[in-house]
Amino acid sequence: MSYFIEVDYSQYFKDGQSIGGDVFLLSRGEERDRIICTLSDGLGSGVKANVLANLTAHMAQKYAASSIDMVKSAEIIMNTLPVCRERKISYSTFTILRMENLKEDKVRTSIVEYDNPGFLLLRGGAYVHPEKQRQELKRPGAFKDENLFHTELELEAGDRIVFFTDGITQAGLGTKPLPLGWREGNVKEYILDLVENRPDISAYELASAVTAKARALDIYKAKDDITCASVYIRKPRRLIVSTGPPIDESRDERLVAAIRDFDGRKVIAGGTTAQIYSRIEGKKLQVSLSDFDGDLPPCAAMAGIDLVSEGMLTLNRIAEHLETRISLHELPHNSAGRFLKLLLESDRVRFLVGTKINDAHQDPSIPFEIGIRRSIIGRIIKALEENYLKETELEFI
Amino acid sequence: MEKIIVEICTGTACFVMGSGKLLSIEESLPANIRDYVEVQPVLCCGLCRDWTNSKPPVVSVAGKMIAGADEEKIIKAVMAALEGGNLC
Repeated sequence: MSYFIEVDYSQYFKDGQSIGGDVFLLSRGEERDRIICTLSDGLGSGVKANVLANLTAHMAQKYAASSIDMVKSAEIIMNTLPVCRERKISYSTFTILRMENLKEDKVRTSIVEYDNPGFLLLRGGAYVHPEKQRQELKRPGAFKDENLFHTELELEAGDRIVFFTDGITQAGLGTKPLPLGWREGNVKEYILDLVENRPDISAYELASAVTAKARALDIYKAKDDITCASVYIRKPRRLIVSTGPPIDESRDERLVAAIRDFDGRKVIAGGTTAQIYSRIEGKKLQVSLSDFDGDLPPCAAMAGIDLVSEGMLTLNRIAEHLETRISLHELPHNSAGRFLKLLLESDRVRFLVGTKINDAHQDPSIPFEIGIRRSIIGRIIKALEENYLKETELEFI
Repeated sequence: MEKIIVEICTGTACFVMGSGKLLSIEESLPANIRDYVEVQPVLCCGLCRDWTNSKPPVVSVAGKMIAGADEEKIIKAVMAALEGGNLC
């Protein structure tokens, strides 16, 4: 069993700054076998902090990908950073997360922290406190005790890791209700509440809820850069998209079985394909005008299928939207919008593409090009993989 | 009284040839017959598979297929169906 690892973050810059002193970096191994992410907070704010944080995050990200000892890497990073003219120190904090063996049922994770608020691990609706190993850096000329914390973990499905910069824990500092800021205990309580109320909340939604709350506590004028990152390990949300009838009718049964037996959500894009399914499974097809906007053909409802839509026009529109990186918050209210929602809410999408050519689409009197099914699906797959980091499978039938 | 069912194909070929606009045909029907008509969108009549004998958009009025349908042809067919059934 291989899990899907969702990693995302949300960020606000200090009020009045157009560049941030908190930097989050994420990289995935080419074979999807490793994820490394780094969150760094540079001293101060603005450009200077951004340079410090960027240098730190990029170096940390590279070191984490290599086999160099993390303590040694941290020392090199801190010795390399430029020294602040005012404070005579070079300083930036970081949290590095490295997740490996993504194809097995446990995700081996190692976390190295330096001076950021400690990461939180949520398992089964409660916090778990894994043992952290403290390692002293002992750099000559260091302006304070420098401690690295190293944690080795095995993550399971449902686990969440949340980590953030001090812009979160110190949000609201000096205000009457929170003279000492939001503080870690309150942040933990807030996150626990979020997850209790919405057990399936996505990594991005969780991170953005935390940053939005912190910014609100700063009375909507962030006093420091505010960044929260979140990791969510879960079973992949799977979707099958079946479009187009098989090349010959003898394969109809196979097509229907592939859709019926699929473990996940299901979309049929194409009238003929939907009718094949309806005929063989004995399910009624009912066209619904509730999402009809006059621009794209309406959707239909059929038991056991999450969405039945028209084929080529809708798919064309979907390819266009995905290529312009549409987000979940700006979906149109039509069949393409419903289709896109299902695509964007899935981690793995399997395309089952029929290769029969519809004679009616070949008529030159049709006013615009309907296109070739497999090239449109190719565009959709490319956009899903490159713009949304989704995993896809393609099968012709 | 049973209504005259007007089925409008919303398949790809029919839609690009204008069936989307026909979905609101109820509003264009003369007031005296509007109450006797029910418009139902359908996914695909399958007539596009017999391309040589049909022309999109395809509409069925009381079970009778109209190829290359437009408002005028539909209204005419509805009137004919109403008269045939002695409804008016």
